[in-house]
Amino acid sequence: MRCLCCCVIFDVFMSILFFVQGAVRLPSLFGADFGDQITRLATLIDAKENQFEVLVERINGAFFLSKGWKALRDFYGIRLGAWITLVYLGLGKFAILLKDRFQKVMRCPVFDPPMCFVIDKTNVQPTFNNNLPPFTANLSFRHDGNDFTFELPRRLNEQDVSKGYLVSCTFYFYLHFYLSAYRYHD
Amino acid sequence: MLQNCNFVEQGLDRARTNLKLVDECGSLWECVLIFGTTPHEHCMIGGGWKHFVEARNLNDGVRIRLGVPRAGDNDTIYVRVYDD
Repeated sequence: MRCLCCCVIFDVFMSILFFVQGAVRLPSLFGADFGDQITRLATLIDAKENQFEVLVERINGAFFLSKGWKALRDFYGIRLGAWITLVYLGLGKFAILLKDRFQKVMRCPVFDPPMCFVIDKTNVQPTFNNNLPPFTANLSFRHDGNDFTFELPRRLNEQDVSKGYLVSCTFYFYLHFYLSAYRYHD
Repeated sequence: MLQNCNFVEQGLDRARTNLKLVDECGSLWECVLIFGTTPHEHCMIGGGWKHFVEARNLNDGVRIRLGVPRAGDNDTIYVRVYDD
């Protein structure tokens, strides 16, 4: 019987490039040992119980963490790069520990309840896609701005950030606004 | 300004109360959509928006862009944060 609680520890240095590409490769030794246990979704858990759901892709037997991985960057405020220690806990769960470039442990943001990142699963197949091209640039998830029919560019104001909701005015407000401005000028 | 009107008027349905917000990392946030009329017509995105702001460390003045893929009743809106 295979023991599920074996720990595999490995360090990965995350340069800013990994976050731009949005995918990180797990060591091939790991794939060889635990490849049969890895499913489409992995969960990364930090010391303060914050959870990140990450999509796993397989290319030529190597495993990549792709969609959802980029969320770590803004959450920990990583600017130039960081060391990430991944400890495999079994059942697709990894404990993570982040250190900066000088090996100093980074502070985990504390939330009550802990922050739980969930990825968007539309267009995600339940099984691994065996026909992925052997380069990682296309693995990363991105919005293509050209796909949008309607867009709303805006700059966040203090209320949007502190009040917990984003207020957007509708057409009638602008009509009202223009009319009142017009009257004012008269 | 015209774009702003189009976004809410044509990209969202007034009967809708729940909305999924997907950011450029691929994370999904379950949001609540509220249409109000006082003191003026407006639309509010709440719920998961708060978590989104906290998790992404957003401050005021940050440039974002919301987008919907088609006209009509969208249940998912996409957001992109710009570093500047």
